[in-house]
Amino acid sequence: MISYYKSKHPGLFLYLSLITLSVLTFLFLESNTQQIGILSILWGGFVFMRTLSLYEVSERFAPFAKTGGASKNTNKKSSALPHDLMHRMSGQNHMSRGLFAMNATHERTSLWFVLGLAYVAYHLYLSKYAMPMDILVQNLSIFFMIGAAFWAGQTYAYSNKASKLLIVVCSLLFGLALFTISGTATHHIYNALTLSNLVSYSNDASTPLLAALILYSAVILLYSCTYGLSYSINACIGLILISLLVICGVTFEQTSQNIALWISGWSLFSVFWIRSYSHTRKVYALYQCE
Amino acid sequence: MRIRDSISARRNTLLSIALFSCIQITLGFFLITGQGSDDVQPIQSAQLTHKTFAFKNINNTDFLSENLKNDLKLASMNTRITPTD
Repeated sequence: MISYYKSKHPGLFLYLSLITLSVLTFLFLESNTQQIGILSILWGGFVFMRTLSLYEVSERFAPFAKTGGASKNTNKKSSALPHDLMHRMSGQNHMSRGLFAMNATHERTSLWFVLGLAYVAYHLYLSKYAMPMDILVQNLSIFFMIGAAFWAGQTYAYSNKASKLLIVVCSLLFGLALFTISGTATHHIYNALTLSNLVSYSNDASTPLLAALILYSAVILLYSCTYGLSYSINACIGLILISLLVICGVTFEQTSQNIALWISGWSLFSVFWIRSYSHTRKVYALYQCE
Repeated sequence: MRIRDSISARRNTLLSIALFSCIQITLGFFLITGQGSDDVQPIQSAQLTHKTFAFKNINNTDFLSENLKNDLKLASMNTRITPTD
């Protein structure tokens, strides 16, 4: 199990390995059902372990939030042996990092998942007569993989070192995916940017909800600029990245390599998404009230 | 009260994410064992060149007309099979 008692960023390298493995599989291998199944199980297991580690942090800080800190009464029944106390003190710093990672459970992230589920439901509604069972399960697995990459990326991006590492690795993978998919990628993007082509793509199933995502990001950017928030540049970068993903998704041909582009793109976006907000003051205020 | 609410909300969010991960693991097993394919072997049904949900593939009007075409084709085949003597 990955725990904040043992590591500063539990599971970070496992996450990076999974991202790299997924992107390389979809880019260079003739990905079949079994490979997608194995990747899906790996991602599901990783997200489950990551959830458990955050659950550990949540339960660890719950008594502190209620009582206002450690007291003799709360520690009376526990075994206060020296090594146990040392273990707790070393874990305390790591736990405080985990509290920042808990910001990935914010309602804003839930809104992305609700939008994503609405997107999938809309897609299934449009293709309900034509989609066989195995394709349906494949698509759901791929959707969960993208969602897992996005959510787990947010749980690590609170830290400066971890976010820099994430940006480097995900940018490399994103660039590799863009480079590998097609030598005419810039040609596709240039064509998509012309108004007539965008109008001709308006019948596509993915366009309306992705347009809603862009609108949502634009509202965030406007909010950040209105209140003069210095970290709004992250929202701006995220907005550009999502726009690029939308254009690529609308214009590129359908291949499994596009999935690699989406996984790397959403994991890269998660870093900018979580860092476009400052959470510290809010968390502090949360535990001071009552 | 507010703290308790936020803690329970956070707990619920984490539990729902854990539920999603369990669904994902189930889907993975479903894909590996090949139970999702009706009459196609897993490796044969693995081509991802069509119908990946994230990308353009569905045109509603085209799809309906294609479906109609298939129905018409089946109907014409049925009439052709019917003995005409």
